[in-house]
Amino acid sequence: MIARVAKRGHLGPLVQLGPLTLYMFVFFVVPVGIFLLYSFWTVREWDVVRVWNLANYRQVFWSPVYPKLIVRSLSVGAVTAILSVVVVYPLAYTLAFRLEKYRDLILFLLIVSLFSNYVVRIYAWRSILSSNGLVNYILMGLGLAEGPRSYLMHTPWAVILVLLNVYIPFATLPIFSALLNIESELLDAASDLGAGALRTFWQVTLPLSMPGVVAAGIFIFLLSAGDFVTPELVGGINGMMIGNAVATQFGMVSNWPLGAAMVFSTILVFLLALAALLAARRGARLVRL
Amino acid sequence: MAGGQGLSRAARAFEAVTFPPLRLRELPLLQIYSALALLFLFLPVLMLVVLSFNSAVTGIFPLRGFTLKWYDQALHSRIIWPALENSVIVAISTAVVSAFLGTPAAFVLTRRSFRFKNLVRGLLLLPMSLPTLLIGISLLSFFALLSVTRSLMTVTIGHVVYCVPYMLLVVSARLAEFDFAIEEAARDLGATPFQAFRLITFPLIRPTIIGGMLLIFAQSFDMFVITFFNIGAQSTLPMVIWSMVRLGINPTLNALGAMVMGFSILVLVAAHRVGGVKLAG
Repeated sequence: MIARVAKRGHLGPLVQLGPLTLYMFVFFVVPVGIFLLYSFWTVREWDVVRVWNLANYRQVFWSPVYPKLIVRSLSVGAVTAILSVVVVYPLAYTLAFRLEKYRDLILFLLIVSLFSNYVVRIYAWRSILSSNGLVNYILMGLGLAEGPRSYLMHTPWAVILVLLNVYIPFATLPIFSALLNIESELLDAASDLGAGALRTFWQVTLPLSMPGVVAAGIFIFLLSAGDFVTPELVGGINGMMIGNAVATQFGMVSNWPLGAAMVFSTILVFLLALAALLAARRGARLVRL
Repeated sequence: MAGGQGLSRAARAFEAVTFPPLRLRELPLLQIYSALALLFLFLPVLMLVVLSFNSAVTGIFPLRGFTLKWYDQALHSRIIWPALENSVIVAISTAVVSAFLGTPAAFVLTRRSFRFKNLVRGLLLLPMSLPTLLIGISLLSFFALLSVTRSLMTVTIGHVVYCVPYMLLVVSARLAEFDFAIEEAARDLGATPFQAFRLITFPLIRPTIIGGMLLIFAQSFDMFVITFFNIGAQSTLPMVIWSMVRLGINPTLNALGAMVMGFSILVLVAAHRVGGVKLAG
């Protein structure tokens, strides 16, 4: 009897967790692995041939265009991530510590925005930014612009603005969660010990919410740097990113191995930049000591 | 008579109010900021709704007059109905598969501890923080290598990869506040583990599961990138919208977009009402 219960206790979790883990392994981990293999293969007469080589990577890094697109994508991702957490922090703070009455409503609005059609929302930005769009219309009404001009669209900044808008809920929720998890006793203790509101914020609230801020930042960075719909719709040539080039290789041009090499080159450059950054920080710390 | 009384009462109340001097420190700056941030968040949606009723054929400013013509045109377009049907098929399949895979997994992840638990949890939640482009083209290469023909089935497989993490989050959030003592009480009264689950635990978390499925329905219904790379000859609504979007601003598209948004909001309201779905907090 005891043996049977113990056995069930052991098998149960496997039966419950096994199918999903297996599913994710087969349809997520394995495909990403195969995609990596593709980057070392080649294309002959529109067909992928399994000949191992590094020609795709050479083509990516030696091209006049792709390195520029990679750098731009990573920069757009970084700028969007930093702007997002800065812009969203006061909102998450208000949501966690003020406005208790409206908290559920605002969280619901964020979820609505998170799950409502992303292509449509990006499309709608065109009617704000384009030459006949809302911004120009208002400027013309105020006599600040002479006629329909298109200087807002087709820049990396337009891409950043739209990405910032699209990912607001993604940035807000982790920071909000982190703020909500701060124990109110800690904040009370800070004020009991004589810290003012600002000092409490700088020395207690902000550091304790940093895990949420970092999570949100990483989230936004990855999603923005890898986006291709936004640059396609509002970026134009000057705002084009590596995702567009990749999508083209999987569409019209149909050179999948080259597209795969672009993706993994971007990841490689990112990891190298990250390592350099960490090394520099460590170096700076050593010098100071 | 009654109105006059009301007015004089209001006037007296008004006199009774003393206006304190306005001080910057007392202004609800955070609240004002939050309101502006939400306005920014919903600006494109509001824009779309306004323009969908604008009679100008350009589909953009200036506002000329009110019309329902674009809604009529969008509803009479032949391509959207089969695409809508496909979208609904994929969204329902994705929601059902995600619920069956995600719910039991959420139980194990919240109630048990085992080796490599964090690794497994990380793997299962990872797709939500990766660009859908990577998930979409990886699956495409995988299916191509195995010579699997692309269809609504391959699309659904991809949607589940991206959507399951949300099911895990929603169910885990519910289980975190679930009082498992009542399940133990059922066991003490002689219920088998299965009976205890079926008669006690499941009925209590059913609203959450249904809410989570509605959430995933909405998500799958709107999913574009993964669909774009894994669909065969058929089409879904986001694919139709994409093909129109690339041609530029178009009043029929404004109306179609507004309707799709409205539909998503209805589904999400239902998810909220039924399950009180939470992702944070």
